[in-house]
Amino acid sequence: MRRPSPTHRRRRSGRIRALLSLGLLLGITQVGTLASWTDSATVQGGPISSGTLDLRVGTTSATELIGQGGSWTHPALTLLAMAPGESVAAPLTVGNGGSVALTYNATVVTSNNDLYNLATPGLQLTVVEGATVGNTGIQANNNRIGTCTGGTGTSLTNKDVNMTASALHPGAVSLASSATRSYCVLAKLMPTSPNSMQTKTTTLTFSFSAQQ
Amino acid sequence: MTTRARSLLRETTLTIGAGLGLLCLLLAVVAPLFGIRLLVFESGSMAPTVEAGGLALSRTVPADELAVGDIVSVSPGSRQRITHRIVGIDRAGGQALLTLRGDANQAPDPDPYPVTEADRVLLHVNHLGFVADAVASPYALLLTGALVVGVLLLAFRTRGPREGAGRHRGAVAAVAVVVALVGAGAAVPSRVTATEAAFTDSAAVSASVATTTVPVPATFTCGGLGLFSVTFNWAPVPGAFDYTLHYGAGGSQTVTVSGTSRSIVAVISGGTAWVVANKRFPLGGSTTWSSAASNTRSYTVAVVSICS
Repeated sequence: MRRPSPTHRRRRSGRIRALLSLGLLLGITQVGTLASWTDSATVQGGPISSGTLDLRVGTTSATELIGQGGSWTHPALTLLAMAPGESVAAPLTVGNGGSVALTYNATVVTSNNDLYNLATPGLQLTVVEGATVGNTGIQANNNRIGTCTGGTGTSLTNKDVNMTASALHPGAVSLASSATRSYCVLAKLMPTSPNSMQTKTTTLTFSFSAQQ
Repeated sequence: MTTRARSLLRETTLTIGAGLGLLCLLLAVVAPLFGIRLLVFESGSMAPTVEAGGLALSRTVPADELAVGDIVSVSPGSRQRITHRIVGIDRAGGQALLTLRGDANQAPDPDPYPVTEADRVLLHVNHLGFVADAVASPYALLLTGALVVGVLLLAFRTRGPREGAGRHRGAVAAVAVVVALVGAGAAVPSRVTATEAAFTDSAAVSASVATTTVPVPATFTCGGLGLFSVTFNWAPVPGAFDYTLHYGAGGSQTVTVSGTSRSIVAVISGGTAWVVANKRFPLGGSTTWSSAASNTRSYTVAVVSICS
């Protein structure tokens, strides 16, 4: 039996190691597949962004709720002493204060069903996107009339709001960074609201949720 | 460079090259077998646990091994892969409905994810995602290709001046370059894509709606007493359409009065009386809201009537 010389052995070992280093190439190409765990966006050089997502709200400009979460009481939608037939319109603006585009939707609920009655409706809510807000009359005369003129209707049109959440849009809508969307929110106490709805208070809550 | 130093360099390069190559081979073959994945965090909604640019190693586990608090990566349908922490699990059979939330998010993701298995994060290191991303670039591949070519030349080149040696070396180099280029070509279409640790944000806008109250007549008094009669007077309520006077036993009888005074004439009788104001509104049509009851009076009508 022929024993390989030490020189031969060293050279063979060197060649084996060199061939093994070819595995590096395989490994590198594998990062592409091994780390390709998403089905959509192909990210090119420098894909990692520490972007921020910040949904903001406000009346005519989205200056409230900067940063994560929070709740805000709409001053123009704090409706006192609503009499049957009265309505009040107020602007509500949603903005993207973050650095990346987002999609959002909102739901609205009431804190109780005191102003909800399917047979004799009480509080009805209408939200129109991009409409002009108008209000006439005064509280003391029980003759306030709010209007949303123009714009595009939403899923909330003459909606008998109650404790079950109702969506604002049929699906999430997109909002580019720094962009805003304005809404006209019209709250109306139906003319036929029954006497049982006298001296009742309910809180409307719009819950916006945004995703990257 | 001395021969000894050159030899040491050669040996070191070959050994490191072989070691890394073997590691890559193992990773390429073993990782898919055990469901091991590398996750690059594209955004920072898992901060401060994992920041944007973090790299995580995950393993696919069945749904029943998942627990609240685990960081999992799910790839829901056509949507972007999401890696967030489990905050709620609803189990049904082998399926689980996962509620996920990013550590940096205040609210959970809007919709729960139905899964039969998920990639549980085993360990994670910040910043390494940038390295993985760089390694998967075609430039890195070319560089690696060049390195491998160098190593091959080092191992296969023949020593000393010999006829044909240059051509031999050239052939090996050509093969290596072709391998590198093919590798690069394969890698270019499959660049690193990343898991999105999607940010969410929520905002609640609240508004209170209160309805009006019809005022109660401020006073309700006994007026003049007569033979078999008693009179009640009350303070007017602004805007009242009319008033309802309750009288008789326990106030069981009513009469609608447009003014603010009313006499009850009867044979011997008595009872309790009070009044409520009824109001209609400019925009409410015939809808009538009534006030609460005024204070009450007890009375008796007879030859000598009494009211108090």
